[in-house]
Amino acid sequence: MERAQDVAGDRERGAGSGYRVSDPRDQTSESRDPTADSRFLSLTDRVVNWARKFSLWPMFFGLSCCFVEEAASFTSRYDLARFGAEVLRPSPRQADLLIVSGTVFKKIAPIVLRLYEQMPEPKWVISMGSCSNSGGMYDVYSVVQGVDQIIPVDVYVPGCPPRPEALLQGLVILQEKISTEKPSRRIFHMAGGTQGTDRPVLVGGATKSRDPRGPGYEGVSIRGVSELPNPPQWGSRSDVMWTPPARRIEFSSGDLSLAAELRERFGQSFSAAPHTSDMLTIEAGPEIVKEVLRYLKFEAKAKYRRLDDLTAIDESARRERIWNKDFAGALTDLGGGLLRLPGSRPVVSAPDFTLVYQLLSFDSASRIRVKCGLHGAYPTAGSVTDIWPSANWYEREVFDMFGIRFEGHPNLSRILMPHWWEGHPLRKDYPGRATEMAPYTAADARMRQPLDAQQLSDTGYRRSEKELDAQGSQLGSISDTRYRTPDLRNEFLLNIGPHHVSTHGLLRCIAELEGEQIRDLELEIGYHHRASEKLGERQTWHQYIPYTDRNDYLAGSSLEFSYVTAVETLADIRVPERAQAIRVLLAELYRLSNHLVWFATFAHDLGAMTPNFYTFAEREMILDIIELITGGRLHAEYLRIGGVAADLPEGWKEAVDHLVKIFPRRLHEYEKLLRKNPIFLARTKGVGRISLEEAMDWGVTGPNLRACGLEWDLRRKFPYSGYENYEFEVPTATEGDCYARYLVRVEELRQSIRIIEQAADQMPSGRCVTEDYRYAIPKRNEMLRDIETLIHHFINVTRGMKIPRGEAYGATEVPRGEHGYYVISDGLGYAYRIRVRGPGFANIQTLPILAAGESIADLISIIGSIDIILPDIDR
Amino acid sequence: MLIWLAGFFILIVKLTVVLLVVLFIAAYLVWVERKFLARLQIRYGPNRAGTFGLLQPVADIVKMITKEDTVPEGADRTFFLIAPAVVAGTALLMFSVVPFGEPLSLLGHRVPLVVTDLNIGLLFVFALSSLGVYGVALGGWASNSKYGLLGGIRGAAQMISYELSLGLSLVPIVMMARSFSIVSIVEAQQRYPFILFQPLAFLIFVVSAMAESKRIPFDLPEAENELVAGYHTEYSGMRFGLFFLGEYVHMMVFGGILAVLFLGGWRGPFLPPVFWLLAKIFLVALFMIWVRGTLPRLRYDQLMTLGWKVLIPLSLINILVTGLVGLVSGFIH
Repeated sequence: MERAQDVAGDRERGAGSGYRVSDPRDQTSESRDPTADSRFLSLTDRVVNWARKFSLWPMFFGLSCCFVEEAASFTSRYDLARFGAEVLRPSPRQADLLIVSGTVFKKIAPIVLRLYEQMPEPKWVISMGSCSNSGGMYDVYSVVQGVDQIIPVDVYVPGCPPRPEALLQGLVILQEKISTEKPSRRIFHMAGGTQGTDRPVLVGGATKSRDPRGPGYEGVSIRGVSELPNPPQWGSRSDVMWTPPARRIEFSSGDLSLAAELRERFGQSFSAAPHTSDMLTIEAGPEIVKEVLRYLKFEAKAKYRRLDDLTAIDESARRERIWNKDFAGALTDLGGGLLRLPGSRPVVSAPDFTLVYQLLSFDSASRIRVKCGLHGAYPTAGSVTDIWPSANWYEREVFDMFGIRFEGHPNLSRILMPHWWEGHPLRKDYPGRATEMAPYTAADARMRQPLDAQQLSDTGYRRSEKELDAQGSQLGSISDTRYRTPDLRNEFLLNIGPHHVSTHGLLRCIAELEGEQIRDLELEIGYHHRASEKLGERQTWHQYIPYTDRNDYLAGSSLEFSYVTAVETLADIRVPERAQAIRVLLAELYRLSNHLVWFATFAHDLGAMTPNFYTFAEREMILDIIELITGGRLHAEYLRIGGVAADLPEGWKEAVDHLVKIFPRRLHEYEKLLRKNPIFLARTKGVGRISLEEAMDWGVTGPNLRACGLEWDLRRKFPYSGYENYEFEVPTATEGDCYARYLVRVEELRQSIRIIEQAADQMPSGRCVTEDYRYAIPKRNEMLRDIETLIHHFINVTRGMKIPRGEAYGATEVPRGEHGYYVISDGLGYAYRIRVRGPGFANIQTLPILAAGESIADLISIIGSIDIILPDIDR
Repeated sequence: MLIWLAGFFILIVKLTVVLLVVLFIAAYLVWVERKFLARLQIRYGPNRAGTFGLLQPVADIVKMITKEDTVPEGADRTFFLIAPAVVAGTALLMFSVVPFGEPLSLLGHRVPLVVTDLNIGLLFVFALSSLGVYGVALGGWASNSKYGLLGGIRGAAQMISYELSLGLSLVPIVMMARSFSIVSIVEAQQRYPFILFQPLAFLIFVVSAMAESKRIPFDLPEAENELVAGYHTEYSGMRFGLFFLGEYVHMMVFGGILAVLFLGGWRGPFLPPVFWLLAKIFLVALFMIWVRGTLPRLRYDQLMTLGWKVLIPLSLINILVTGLVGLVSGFIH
């Protein structure tokens, strides 16, 4: 009792002395007396505020798409340097301003908080973009719904992403705010005064609304939450809409002979789907699937060397199941003949999960899909890591997302979700929305720290089979104990990332060093997991298009292209020629834009700062054209199922012609800075080499594969959207090192401009969207003309169009390689499951091979040369 | 006594003037760098703080001084705090032997226009330059950060190696001037600047000087793409500012020494000597900024290779050749 009084007394005395700093109540008592600040203090206030205003050094900090626009605001057209704010400091200790640009993921939030706390006072925060402001369009399990829940925010810049001009305005607003501060008292260690951020950290549900639609919707439930179950009740109105069945392809003779070959080898224990929309699909039981895969890789006539993708489907919410189980009666009531789904099978044999292996044969340029049904709530399958090393990450992802275990996997642990995560998000019973879960708070960010490097490094977690089995019983969630306690080995572990200048996003490399040489490298990904697959299960087919852009924020429409290709393949939608050419035009413009950013960042990684500013100037030119056509910059959201959103605007041709005219000359000029520069050569030649064999085995795609000497480009091998009509070369190099990758990409710039020229010159006339309005958003003038079109419009923008039951894989050659969407429809207005096959996931998995034995500086140049982007790795 | 007092007074005046001028120029060198880089990169650079952004350095300095001064937990406090002062201090001291004009005659006394005309001026510069390494290495080590440590190690290794070629490249100059005193070296260039006789030494010196002042392509100790901010990762506020200042003073010192040893020092037609010296320093600085805007960065081992296997043998050969030519032509007795 006595002690408590003492403490209280101390506190009172302390309040009298001059050492209180941050109690906001003091400020109000101080401001009551305006004469308290002498002239001297108000003069220093003005001087210091003026100085701080013009010396706001931002931290080199970015989370996702918005950072690209932030970076653009430093370049010639916007030139943030005018405000004295171009001194990007990579270390938080030297920064004054934290621009939170991008999505704040639950996995990265602790790091955001830590970096903020490492910044010395006074410090300010600009929250840039919708995701950082409120979670934006990502109301999804892995995303914090606004950075203001973990750190205080001074200025919010709206937009998705905000344009560079918007960021400039945000900076000006912050400068105005700084002018109103009274820092002198703090500086001279006196009571009172204000400086830096004085806003409170908000708490979701208490001091800020948790409704993703903003305030005013109380009592109206949100689509996708448990009150409106997903999938909805049996009586979906999509069922009364008729669509033609899914596309059926004719199998090639190679496919047919392969099927026969397999039947001969494996007898009746496997079956081939009689007709599919995209590729030969076979089903094999869990007992033989590994044998089948091994056969396909090593023994089949056309060897399926590459594991394109490995994923799973949670079959528990299939409508045929729910119908058969719960609504069999209701079905007949409604006249089941009309509504019965084709191919319904008895419930008993339907698997709970399906594993899907997709393979590619380089020899015959064909794909095959191998499906394997699994039974049980948390089933187990055999690992194929001994057949394809690249299966390692894929299987970890399936484990992480579905809870399916793989026997024989060297290191089955979470990959995308943080280690403390509970549950497996892609299971159908898992809630999709962040607003359905408990709000993420600053306390969470303090507690949920990432694992220590030592626990993640080689010695830390490679566990034996036995250990796996010992812990196998409780597989539902993964606990810290599964990571071994650190060895006391005498090694120097260096964390590069998850937030580092040169990781090009949120990627964590743990390098085991000997001097500066990398002995071993471990990667931890998942810091940028935006749940884009789960989102596909609640957004309608069209609504999902904006999410595809954000799966690779530098390639814009190219990803929409992959997605609409997949849906169009499934529903057999014919795209008018003009729309096809517009798509090609846009895809190539984005390829230019992406490669220019790559050129800039690669040079920057090697220490050359100027190419950034040069290439971004041309990039702005390209973005201007894109903006003219689509209205967007990074995220065009312009492609539509069945065509494009609008016809080409007036003046597009002149703009494209101008670009085609000047671009090769400019490129030549920029290249002169690097191509023959001896330092550049020394830093790239022979660095980060991978052989063609390895690249094929690990599923490397795109320019990285071509740099190993294989002429493999989807635009040539599986032509789509009329690419067969364009003249262009597929550049290759043979060395497979950083310099080869550089050469290939630079040559691709030249080829892309050729394609753009041809597409612009030969632009066909006609419609820009399909006439089959069952699958498209009708053009406005046609919609106003007749009632049928109006009905289609109404249905397609409200509950979404119906895509026939079935599945299809659609892929295009995006700047980084093969980006594919595997869409599965249950005959509803939205997908049953969407699987995103990003090229980055496979490409980055080879990083430990590329970097082994090289130095830290080489690692940076390798990361730069393979051109990664995190949303397509973590999705 | 009076003379002694007057001499002391003159010394204080010279010290103050030189210090202020050097600090001022260093601050504005930052401005020049930001503006010049901006122009190289087709943009304007700072132009809001004062006309043409001329008050930008003032804003930066006031901001850095009023910024919280943090010492990370686990850092070695003493060394952490003194390291920036070592870097800035040694850099500033080096300027004390750079002469900026012909000796003045004041009341019948000869007043050399240099803070102190040491007869071993050149050695003094090297000694200080080696001491400066301690700032970098200690700063990186004392931070208790892995990036800081790597930066510090790189800094120490790099500066020690390049000191050799830096020193060796100047031996021929000393041979030709027959003095270590910088004032005498300038006097030896009365007719022709040494760059005409010693182009190779000049080149080696420029490269080594850039490495010594840790600028691209040799900015490995702070390489932000690799080591976040290298040895000064953990420094905030004015302590970081001191490292910054040290770098720019270093640039000036090497500009100054380059001017003095190779470009004839303060000599030049028509205009006052101080102008010529400053102009030469400025040109050297502009060149370094230009290089920074153009080149990528070397790798650690490449940097070492360049230093040990190229520059040092070259400078040794240069010494031999100079000696031989000297013997034959007779300027060495």
